Amino acid sequence: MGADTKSLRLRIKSVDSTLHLTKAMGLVASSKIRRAGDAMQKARAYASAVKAAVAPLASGADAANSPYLRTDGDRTVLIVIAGDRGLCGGYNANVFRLARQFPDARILPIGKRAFERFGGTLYSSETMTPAAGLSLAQELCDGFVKEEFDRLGIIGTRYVSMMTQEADISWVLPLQKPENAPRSGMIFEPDAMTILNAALPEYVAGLLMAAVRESFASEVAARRMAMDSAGKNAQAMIDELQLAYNRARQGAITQEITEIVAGSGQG
Amino acid sequence: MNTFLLSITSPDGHLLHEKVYRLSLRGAEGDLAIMAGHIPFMTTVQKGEVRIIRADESVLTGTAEGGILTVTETETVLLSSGFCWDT
Repeated sequence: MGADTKSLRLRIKSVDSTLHLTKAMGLVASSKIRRAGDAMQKARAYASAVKAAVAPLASGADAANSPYLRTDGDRTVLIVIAGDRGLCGGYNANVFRLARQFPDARILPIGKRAFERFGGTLYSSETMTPAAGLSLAQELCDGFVKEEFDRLGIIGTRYVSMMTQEADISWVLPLQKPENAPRSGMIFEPDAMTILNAALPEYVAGLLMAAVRESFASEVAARRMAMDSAGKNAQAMIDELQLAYNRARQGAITQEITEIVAGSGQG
Repeated sequence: MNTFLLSITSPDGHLLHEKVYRLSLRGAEGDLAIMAGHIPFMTTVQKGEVRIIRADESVLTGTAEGGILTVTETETVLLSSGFCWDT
């Protein structure tokens, strides 16, 4: 019983405090999951409503001259949505890996981790407001119309289920001309192209906020899974160390008894 | 009293989804009102007051920062990323 048991005891204590940390982070993630999921559903509903509204505008012949439908050039701007924190498995790494496939793109980060990596303006992926999204979308639409760049994409994480989230890129601009969008004699005031050009910032903001909310829901789910599995590993490690500690302690006691017995035999 | 289905949607979700009697707001070319049986129509919404007379004749008012108004035969949809109800 000496240095060996002491170092084992210290390691058990250290792994135990890690276990407490992972449990606490897992509980925080669990409490956020429902709210993040609700926000994701609402933002998805808004994005699909905006898409449905823009489709008949973009499909008409009168929209062909809209600056948002030009397809020349390949200067790319990418909005990269990562988390505000780490300890969420491969969530941030998967997003950055996808962003690395576009080395020439100008990156606009959302989330503290992306901001630390790429610089620029700090937007929180958890608390970004629709107003901030609309202002960023307005800025990007102005840049696209002034031909400062030629395509706009969003790299975020698609929420498949609690267990699965996938890093994903979606292209927002130039606008894809939808096939067979119904117009059914609709009257446009003042005209389809003017409405299209005025509605585009709302459209980009809708897709952006949907991606931000979906990525945050993915982050929270990924963190819960990561903390769950880290907690299990820590518990397994504690069990193993405890066994080694008990063996060492037992060995030391046995040795002590043997020494006492041997000592009394000599006397 | 003829009513029509009105949806007001923002990134915060559906703010209203019910049958109403009249919707008034500021469109691209000035103030307008939508009632049941309006022709299919689309315009941008200017920043300003949105006034709704519900089926029970109570009045709801809110403020839109902008948006898109779409009137179809089945539903009228106001999409606005900046909409709040007056308290």
